[in-house]
Amino acid sequence: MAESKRNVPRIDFESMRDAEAPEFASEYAKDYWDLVFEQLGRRWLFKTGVAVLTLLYGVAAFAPLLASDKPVSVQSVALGAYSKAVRVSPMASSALNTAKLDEAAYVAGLDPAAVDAPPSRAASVRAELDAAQLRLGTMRSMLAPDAEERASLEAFEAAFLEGAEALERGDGEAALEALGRAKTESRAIRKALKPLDPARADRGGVGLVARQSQPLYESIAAWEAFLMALWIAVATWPVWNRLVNGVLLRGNRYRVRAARRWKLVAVLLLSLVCAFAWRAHFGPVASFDSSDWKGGITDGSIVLLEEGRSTADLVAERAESGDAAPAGPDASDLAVWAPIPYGYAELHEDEKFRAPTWTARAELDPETGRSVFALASESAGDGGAAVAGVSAESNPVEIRAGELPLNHPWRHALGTDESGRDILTRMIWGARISLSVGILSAALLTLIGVVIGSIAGFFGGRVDDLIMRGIEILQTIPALFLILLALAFTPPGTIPPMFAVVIVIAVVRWTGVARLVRGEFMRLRDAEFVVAARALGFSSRRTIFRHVLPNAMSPVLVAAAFAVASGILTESAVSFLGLGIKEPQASWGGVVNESRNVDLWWIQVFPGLAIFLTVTCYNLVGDAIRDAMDPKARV
Amino acid sequence: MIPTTFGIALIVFGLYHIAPGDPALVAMGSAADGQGTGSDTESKLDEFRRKNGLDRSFVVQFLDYVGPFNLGPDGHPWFTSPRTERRVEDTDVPVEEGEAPRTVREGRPVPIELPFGTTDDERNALDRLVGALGTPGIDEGVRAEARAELIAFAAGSGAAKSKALARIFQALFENRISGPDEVPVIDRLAGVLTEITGDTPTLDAALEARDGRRHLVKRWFAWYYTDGGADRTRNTGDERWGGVLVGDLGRELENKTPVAEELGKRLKVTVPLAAAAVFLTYLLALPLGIFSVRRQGTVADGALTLGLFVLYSVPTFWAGLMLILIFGKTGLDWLPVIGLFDKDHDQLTAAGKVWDVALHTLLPVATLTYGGLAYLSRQMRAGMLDVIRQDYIRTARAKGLAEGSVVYKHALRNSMIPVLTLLASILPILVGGSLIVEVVFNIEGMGKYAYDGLLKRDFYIVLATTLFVGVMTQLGILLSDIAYALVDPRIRLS
Amino acid sequence: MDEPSADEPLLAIEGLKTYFHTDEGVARAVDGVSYSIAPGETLGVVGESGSGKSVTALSVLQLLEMPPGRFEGGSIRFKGEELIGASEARMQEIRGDDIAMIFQEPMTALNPVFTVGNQIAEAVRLHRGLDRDAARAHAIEMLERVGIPAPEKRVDEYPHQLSGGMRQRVMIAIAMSCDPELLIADEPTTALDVTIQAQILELIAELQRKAGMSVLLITHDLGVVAEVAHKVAVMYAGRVVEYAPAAELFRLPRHPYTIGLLQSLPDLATAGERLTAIPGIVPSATRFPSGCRFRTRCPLATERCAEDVPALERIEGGAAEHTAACHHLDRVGGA
Repeated sequence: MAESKRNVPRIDFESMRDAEAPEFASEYAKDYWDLVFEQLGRRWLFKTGVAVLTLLYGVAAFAPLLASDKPVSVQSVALGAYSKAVRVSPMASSALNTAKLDEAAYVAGLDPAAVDAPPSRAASVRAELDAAQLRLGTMRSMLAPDAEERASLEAFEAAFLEGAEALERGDGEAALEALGRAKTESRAIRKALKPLDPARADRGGVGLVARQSQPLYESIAAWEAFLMALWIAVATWPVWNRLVNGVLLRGNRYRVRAARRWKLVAVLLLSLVCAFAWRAHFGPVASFDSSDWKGGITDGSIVLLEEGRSTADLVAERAESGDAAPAGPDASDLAVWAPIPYGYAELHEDEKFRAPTWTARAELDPETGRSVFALASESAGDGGAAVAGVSAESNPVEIRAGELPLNHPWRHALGTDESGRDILTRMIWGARISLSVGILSAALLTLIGVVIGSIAGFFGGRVDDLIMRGIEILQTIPALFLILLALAFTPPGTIPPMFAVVIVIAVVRWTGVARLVRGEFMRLRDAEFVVAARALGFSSRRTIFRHVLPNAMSPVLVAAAFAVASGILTESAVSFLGLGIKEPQASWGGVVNESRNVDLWWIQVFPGLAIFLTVTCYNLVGDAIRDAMDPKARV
Repeated sequence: MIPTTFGIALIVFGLYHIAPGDPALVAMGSAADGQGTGSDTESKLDEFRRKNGLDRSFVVQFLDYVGPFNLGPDGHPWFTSPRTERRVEDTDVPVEEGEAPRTVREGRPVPIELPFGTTDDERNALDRLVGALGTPGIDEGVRAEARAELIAFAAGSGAAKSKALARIFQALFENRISGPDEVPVIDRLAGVLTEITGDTPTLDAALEARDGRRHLVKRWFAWYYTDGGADRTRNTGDERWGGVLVGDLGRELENKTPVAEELGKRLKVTVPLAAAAVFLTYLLALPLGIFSVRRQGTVADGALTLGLFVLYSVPTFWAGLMLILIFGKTGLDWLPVIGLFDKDHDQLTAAGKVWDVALHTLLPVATLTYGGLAYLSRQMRAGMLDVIRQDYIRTARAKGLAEGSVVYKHALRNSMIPVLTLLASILPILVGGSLIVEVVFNIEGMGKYAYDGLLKRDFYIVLATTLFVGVMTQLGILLSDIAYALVDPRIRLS
Repeated sequence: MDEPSADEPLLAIEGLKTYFHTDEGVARAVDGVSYSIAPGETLGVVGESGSGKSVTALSVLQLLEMPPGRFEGGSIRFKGEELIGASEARMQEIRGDDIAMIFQEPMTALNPVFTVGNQIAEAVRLHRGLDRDAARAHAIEMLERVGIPAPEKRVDEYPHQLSGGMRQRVMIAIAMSCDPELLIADEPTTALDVTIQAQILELIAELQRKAGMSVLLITHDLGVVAEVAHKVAVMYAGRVVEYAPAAELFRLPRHPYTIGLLQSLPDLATAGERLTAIPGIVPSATRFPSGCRFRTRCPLATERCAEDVPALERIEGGAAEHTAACHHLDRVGGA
């Protein structure tokens, strides 16, 4: 054969050496993440899951804008606040009394239990002055800019300030004199600056100017604004990503790849900027915003009035056009409410356990507030007690400002609970807690798991044995038992319940991730590319952190997706059992816990559906990611 | 298994103590809600702690609960305590006629060993002096005299003797000084010794030199008895073992019924329920998995897979509530939904009783089963699909075997291997689920017991149930290991 | 069993097309393959991985997963009987009885949870209807025939207790247990040590001589083909590119691919000469190039190669059965 071989025809393949078939280049240019995204893009279940989750997170992020008892924008005069502010004499007299005391007597009279009591007379008077100035500020903001009465405010403040300064100097006489003047002034203020209440115009008083305010926006903290901005950036990702890739990066795959990280940074930065801008515009979350706007408007302590007009104008107009007819535009235009005008902890005691208002059962008699259904079944001898909870006594329902009429089908679309809180509102706000518990617990447990798993995998030997032994023991106990136990023995008030739940879930559930990471370490430790890295002379630490850990991350990511689902499930179960999130805080499981009475089906059905939907989506997403990341499944 | 159980107890105990806040406060807070404030509460709290031994050291509480180190004030026969130096001996116990002769291991006081060359006179003198020093409440003058005499004794003998003296001294003190005192025995000794020997090594060093590790053990026990609070263990030392080791799970805080007794009662309810659920899970998951694989890619398979997937995401408590809504009196009114029996259960015939219980258990068992079922059949399907792609399945097909026998003979047995190991992970899920199911359906089982214990913050109930569940899970692991070995010859032989 | 007439081949594959419908597109793994095997003959099928040689063999026994696999045309005739479209029941009769197959990986091709004897006896009981004891006796006999020492003991052992070579012998015993007329050996020696490889090839050749069966030997190893095959089909990218009697193929290869394969073969006789490898890799089955599929790696490629699919043509001056599919056969003349 060797002989014949010499005559075998030969072809020179060497000439082909440098030519690479161009049509296959694109195939090699795809990296791991390209392939993963491509796989994910093909699954409609994954896309649906992501879309639904995005929607749910949107609801959670925008909960304050969706459901709140504060108006988005209101033009009004806060009569109640003014009436309170006008009382500055208690401060003046208290300051005067303090100044009259001997310093030693003052110090002796301090209650040792009161830690933050002012240590000296001067400090005490200063504190009173601060309080008075706060009220003065409120008054000034509501008085007409050209009102003569402003002068007495100035006089009062000047006298008070003088007194405080004199006392600080140690000049007791001057202080007494000045504070005495302040006290007199304060009485004058109370008399002269009485507000003009349009409802009782006959009593007279000073006209107050209406202001426009945005209590809802003011009640939104910077971090909430951050999350909203982040959500918008993420939800619109498919749109701008395509734009950026196509226009800015001209579709160059390598540039797109390099830009991934920068996009992420840009989104975060943009959201941060939004949060700062929000903070700068609306200021810190103001405490006076917590005032009950709905109650105030309903009972008249907040008078709706166009911006810039004063109550005096209103009274004058009314007098002209005859008493009854209110002048100006319809009052309802002056206050704009969130789509669902309820706060998550807002009580409607007279509407407790009301069925979803679109059902026949929910109809209430507007006069007595009794259930029409219960009355009907009672008269039919059917035992009306079946509708539990609905108050038997006659008690007309109060319809507050901004709310829908009593028997409107969407008044309480998902019913109310035992305190008359709107279930839909509670679910919207509960989404915040339930979803954050899921994400945060997953993040925390992944962190713990990765750290401990890496330690076990990196050090091996005895450390590994010890950790694995511990994990084994921990896994023997059902996680729910441990979580309940830890929560039961953590007294409420030590940590906010949401964080307690997050921490406990993470502390109990990290074992799976740790095992995973350790397993990957063990597997990759002898993998060829790690051996190669070592052969190239890289240190073992560098090898681990540059090569092993990133490779171990993809199964961890999948586990984390499922951990979110199980975190949400666990939180709901724990809250359902009454050991997690408690009233007035809302979480989906907690809402279900409010009643297990089978007649009150709406309390059980709707929050459960929300949990179920979320968990299903997470599982779908996790499943898709797992399949997409598994190179074996792709073949 | 025992170390694991020990570990479980430690973890639960640890959680109970590490949880921020005072366990006594939490426990009492729910036991006596809204009773008094201020110093009144404080004193009640103290009383509660003392009564339940919560003021003792964590270690002592743990050992007391678990039981292997229940040492009475006189020490456990297997160990020595600082108060009594003992030697363990086997003694024949006199028995009645007809009884088999018995031997008892007993600790006896050991005669103190003095250094070689100590004369009888010296021994007696030391005995007397130390006795005088150690007797509590002795006249201060007498004590000072004895001390001076001892110092003189030591001074005349040089450094070498002082070391020997230290030994004697220590041994004597250990035997003589008794009764609680503010200053721990060893510290008192140290004081006296420093006085005697001046610059000689401290007592600790002297004792270390003599006893080494034993000294540490002794110090530990000294602390154990004095500050640790071991004088108030449940086992007074009459029994060698106690606590969980002999099945004593403590008593409920509220009505003092033994937890073990109540737990036994509850298990009669929970175990059959859980067993039925496990049985049903496997019974249904296998055919579902096989169906999926044989119809792989069809609409039926897709629907089944998605259905199980969705089922897997339903929260257990909600599933229970929905079943109650659907089948209970507000819905179809087909099945009873509360408890395990009707009110008139006692008046029923035997068959009627069985029927009654069967009707009552239908929904709880279904609730308990569906989650595990969804999980297991998904795993079963994945396992089957994995196996069906193996080379040996192709070999079987190449032999001309029919599809049925390929699946049932060659694939099923191989895919059983991962599914059987899942038994170990299904059990904890099931037990966690049984807590919720029993709460939802108001069944007086172990899960409900644990839940009530949690609400009452009754530590004994919680620990007992958790321990039991841990043990059950370990049994599950054992069981799945055995099953594994039965199915897989590779395991059987190694 | 009726004897096939001398001129009728035992197995004739004609224009077989087996496609896979995947997410990435249609993979034309086997695209118009034809070859035939006469009774008692050994046909070697050679090609790189991904050339479709195994898929062709699995198509014969219809052991491919369908879907995603699908026959898009052609025919497979075994003793004159058309197998494409045959019922599953008929295929089950043929598998193991008339046509048997052994696979590449002896480590995974045996079921780990059944004893060796059980797995051998299974086929006999199915096709010959033997009872349990007779089947067991047959299994022991088969083990003896494939040269396993102490067969009475081995018959009750599990696959994991055997070495790789032993397992391949067991695989052969399973395949031979019903005296098939055609044995398909899919890379039977690839996973084995060199010394064991020779033994296994020897065993197959010996059994073939004794039983007079035909063998379809699939391999990527030209050395193996040279040793045992009568005829050789060279496959590239789902097509047969050259078909020739074994001796002639090595003496006078005509297709550039065959030539490239031979050039990349180290040979003791030509030691010192530089080996040349064919550049590039086999393209993925979903995106084969148009026309001649080898053109992307062929230095002789012209525009015509991209347009027309070359057909198998008789080689002038070669043996009667020597054919090759290339537009430039004249340019690789024997000189």
